[in-house]
Amino acid sequence: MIQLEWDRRIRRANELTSSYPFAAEGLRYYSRVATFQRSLYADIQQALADSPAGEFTGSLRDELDLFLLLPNFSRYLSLIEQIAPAPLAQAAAGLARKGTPGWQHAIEDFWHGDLETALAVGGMDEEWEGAAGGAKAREQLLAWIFLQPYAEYLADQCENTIVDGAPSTCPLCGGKPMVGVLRSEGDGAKKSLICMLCAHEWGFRRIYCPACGEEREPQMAFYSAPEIAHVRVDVCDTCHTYLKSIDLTKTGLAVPVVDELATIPLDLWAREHGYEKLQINLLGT
Amino acid sequence: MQTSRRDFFKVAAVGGVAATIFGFDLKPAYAQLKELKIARAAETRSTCPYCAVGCGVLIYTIGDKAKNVTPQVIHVEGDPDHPTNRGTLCPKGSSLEQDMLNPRRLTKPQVRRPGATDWQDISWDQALDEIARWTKKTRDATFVEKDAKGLPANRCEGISFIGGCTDTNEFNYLVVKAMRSLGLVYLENQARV
Repeated sequence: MIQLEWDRRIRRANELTSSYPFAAEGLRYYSRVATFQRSLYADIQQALADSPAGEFTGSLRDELDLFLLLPNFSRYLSLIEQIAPAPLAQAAAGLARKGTPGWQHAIEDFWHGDLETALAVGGMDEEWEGAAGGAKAREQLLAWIFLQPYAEYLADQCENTIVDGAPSTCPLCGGKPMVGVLRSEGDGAKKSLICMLCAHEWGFRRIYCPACGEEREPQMAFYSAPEIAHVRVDVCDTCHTYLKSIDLTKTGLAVPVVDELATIPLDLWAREHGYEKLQINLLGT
Repeated sequence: MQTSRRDFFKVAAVGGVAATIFGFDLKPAYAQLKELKIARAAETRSTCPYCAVGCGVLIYTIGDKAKNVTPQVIHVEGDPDHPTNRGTLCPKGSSLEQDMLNPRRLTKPQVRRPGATDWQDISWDQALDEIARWTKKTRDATFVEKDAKGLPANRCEGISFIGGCTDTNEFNYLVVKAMRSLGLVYLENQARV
């Protein structure tokens, strides 16, 4: 991914801070995090510039360059300590105290772990506050945010891959979808999903649940509000899971990963009505 | 679904302040939520009724599944997942919403009598009665039992049948059975759905 994409995200977050004041705190936080991620991406790009283009026969997560990543982890944790709310800042401070072996363990544990179960919404609050499981959940979250630029860089080096069907997880890294996107195609809109880790976007079916595979139309619906018309909550009444989709045919200037973060009220509404999010975002919604 | 302690959002009891588990304040978002008019909509796959190409369409309807609420069509667009049209529609297909919502849409049978210039509304019962009567009369008058060489023909050349392009294969199968039983030889449809 070119640096311009990071700039677009940061710019969009700053724009929405004023237009969506109800999400201002989270967007300001995200803007700072994305700025760090942009610089980390640039460092990775510079360091790996001479490497051959990736040809991944298996998962994108087969390789992990700790020599490149670990030196950046300390400043990342310091940033989170400075800008995040108390629970997250405390988690960063706790991990910072563990030193390099602990950082390496956290990074490797997340990178090579099962992304289907990592950062799962159900039970996250219990894990977060629990003593033993809580430490793992906190470290997974911090490692996830830190590793996003690296995963995105690797994904950007992959040549376009042809994927059979419509997989429910990222065909490159196996991550769950973070947000759906509707892009104009013909006289309608084609749906695609964006990976929570490497931000790879892959084509998906319009009426199909990425969580349980439900495709019966009466069980699939979406909720939207005219005040935020370009964001819809795609729900499955079979497994009661939801995923937000950003309709770029309505607002072409939207940046899906940012607009997903900014529309917190829709998450609150979905939760109140018994739907569980497929994948939490960086703000914990 | 009831709220359980496994719920993702943690609502702290202290001061009624709501926050995500990461500590982000949710109070402004809750306030905004009260202002939103959130409505349920559904997408249904269907097939354009106009021609034999059979383009896939998505029909959007609003309605909250309540029994006293009739779902209402709000939008029709091309189905990007359909192998025939991949989301594209011709100008006629693009106007499908009007096919369903136009107040001038015909909802009852009409007949134009011989020599008349206007269409006249009739009831379904009257339409069926007249169709049956004219079918019987025409068939009796034009039925060919033997051809010019005296060979058995048993055909009716005075009636033809054309099926609409929204008819299903199953419907068309029954049409052919019924029309052939009357001896019709001129029948056509756009069997494809």
